[in-house]
Amino acid sequence: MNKHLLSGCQEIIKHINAYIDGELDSSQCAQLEAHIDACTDCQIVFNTLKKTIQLCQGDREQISLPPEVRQRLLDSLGLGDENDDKDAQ
Amino acid sequence: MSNSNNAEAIDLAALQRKDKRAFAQLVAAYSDKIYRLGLKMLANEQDAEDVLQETFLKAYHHIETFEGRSKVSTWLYRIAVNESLMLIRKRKPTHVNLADGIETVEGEVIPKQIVDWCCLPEQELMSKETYRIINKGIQSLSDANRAAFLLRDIEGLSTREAAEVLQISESALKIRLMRARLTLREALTEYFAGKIPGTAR
Repeated sequence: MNKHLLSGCQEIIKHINAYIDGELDSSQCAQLEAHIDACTDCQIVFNTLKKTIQLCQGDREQISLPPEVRQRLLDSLGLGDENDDKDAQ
Repeated sequence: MSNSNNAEAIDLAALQRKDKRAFAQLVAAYSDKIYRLGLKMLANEQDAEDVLQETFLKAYHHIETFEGRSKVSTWLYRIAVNESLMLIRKRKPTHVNLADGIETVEGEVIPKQIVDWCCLPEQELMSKETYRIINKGIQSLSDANRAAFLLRDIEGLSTREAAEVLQISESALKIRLMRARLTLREALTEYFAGKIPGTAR
């Protein structure tokens, strides 16, 4: 059976995002870490949330601009062939 | 966290003179990112190309009105997000507007499923099906939450930059981001739970 988070942990969840983004001060970090160390459910939410972001970022790498789309963009901007573009880099 | 350094080396004065080299540099630095943003906002390759074309054409034609108060990249992303939303509205006229904030109908997202799936093997975690679930999850987000998530977590903008793009406060951005992340975590948990013995419902 899947478990459900206790209502007391919901306040912690709000801070987990800020923690992941490095936006908590040191005392808030210490408080949150102490809670996570003692609370398996919050630990799981924290770990799976971090992993979710990583997986989404992994998916990002699979998308690249098709060369023909890029060429049509350059043409519409009157920027000529791709060599002009490479020179500019 | 910003990955927009390339374009910040671009000479704004040159762009405003419609210098082709400067524009080619802007395209080189941002065309991939803008295309990806359009694709993730709209889940359609033709729409993503339209967003890409319109974004750079508008940037080209209106660069002289850009006052340089934000980064060029922030301005470009703003055009791209607006173009994406315009296309979405064309498709679904009743869609929630990005300007609709956190005070509206969207409720709290509370983690419902507590299953530790981080222990699954990498090949299981990074499968095609996982990416399908992720993309389905991204499309299920509200436009506002999706834009916040894509700018912050996929394009790597800072909280301040993403808030600037969306013209909302940083705290509103953080709330949208939290909702998006938790929603995606929930979708992945639902999926992975079925792969862990003893957690299937």
